[in-house]
Amino acid sequence: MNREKILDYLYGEMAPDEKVVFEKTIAINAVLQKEIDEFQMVREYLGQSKDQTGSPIQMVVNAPVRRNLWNRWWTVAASLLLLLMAGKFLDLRVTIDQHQLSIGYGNLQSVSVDPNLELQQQYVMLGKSLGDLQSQLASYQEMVSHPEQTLPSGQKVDMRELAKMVGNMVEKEQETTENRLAEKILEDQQIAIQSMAQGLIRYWDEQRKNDLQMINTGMENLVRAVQMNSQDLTQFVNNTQQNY
Amino acid sequence: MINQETSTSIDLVQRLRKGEAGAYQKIVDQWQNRVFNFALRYSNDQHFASEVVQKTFIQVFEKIDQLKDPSKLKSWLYKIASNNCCSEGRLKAKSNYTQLEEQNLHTLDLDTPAKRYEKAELKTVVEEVLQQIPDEQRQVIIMKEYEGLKFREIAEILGESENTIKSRMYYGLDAMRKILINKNLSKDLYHE
Repeated sequence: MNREKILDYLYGEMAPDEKVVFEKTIAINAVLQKEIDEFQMVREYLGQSKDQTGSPIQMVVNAPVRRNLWNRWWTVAASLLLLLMAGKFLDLRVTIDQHQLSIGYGNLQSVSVDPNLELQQQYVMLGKSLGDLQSQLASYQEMVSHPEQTLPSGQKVDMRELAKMVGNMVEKEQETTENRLAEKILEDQQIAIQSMAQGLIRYWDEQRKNDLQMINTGMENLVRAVQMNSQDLTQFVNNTQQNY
Repeated sequence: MINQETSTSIDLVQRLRKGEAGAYQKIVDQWQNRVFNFALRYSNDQHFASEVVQKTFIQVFEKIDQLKDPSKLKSWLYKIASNNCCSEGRLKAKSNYTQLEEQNLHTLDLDTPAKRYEKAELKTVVEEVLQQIPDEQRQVIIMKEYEGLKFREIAEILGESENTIKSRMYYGLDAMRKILINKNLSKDLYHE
């Protein structure tokens, strides 16, 4: 009885009126008082470790994606659609009727499981069917890896020739593209050279005019200077003759 | 009257059930430190605690549809963590004090070196003593002392009666009291 009350009192889970009565009991009971004091001491020790907290070393929990049922059904529907499309190309057949699910392709015999059989027999049938299907798929894989293939139209194709043809087409296209690119570069270069030549001609023309003007001015100045010098020379000669 | 924590729990559980990954992340963010500390005190081993956190939140995600009352998320979460502590505890060896001491070095403490040393010693002693009492008593003491759960809540989490829980608590505290007295750790020494 005391055990539960001690704990309720220590952890403050005692009703107020009950607490008053209990405290009166403690006051007159030295053994109970000692017990409560010692329990309180243990709690104080435990409290020393209260800040001893941490967090996970790493964030180890990642939020996984929780898909609801609706999404799952859409996934199934999409898978079936994909299977039917693949079946169209690979001549794969999936047949579902009232009693059987059959999967097969080409002219090979289809495999089936009859749900009316006993469960154990169904497992045996399913195992056999899966084995058959596996061997069919293996033969299909071998067929696909063969260099000579027959298209659904019946036309025979040599895969090596086809690869060569595609390679040639790619190479030719690449060559054409390179040629087009080279032509464009040449055209651009020609335009740039023409533009530069025209600019030079304009510059030279202007320069020539300036040079001519300068030469003419120089010539005029020279003629004038010569004339002046000639007058001076005549005067000098006359003066000299007069002195001698 | 529904408190803030309960209404948040209800909302998060409902959103998680609808498949919202954000709701799961919020539950993890809100609870991972508490679960970690609970497991750390139970085991005194950081790797153990990390394992428990990981397992607990994976189970929360996987079994959220099994939670009948979304307002009981807290109790349910502790129940899973508590079960994981028990199952993990059976597999792994207990106690690795080195890691806890290493962690202490990173906490800001303005005490003198001597006082710091004394406190660290005391913590180590308390953790050692806690590890010496039976698992079921330790679990109840941790939930009560460190997680602040009511006796009623602990009883709900552990699927026991309130009286059984109080009984475990009493015997747990009593066992710790005896060990501490045997170690000559009196209240006077603690208050020095």
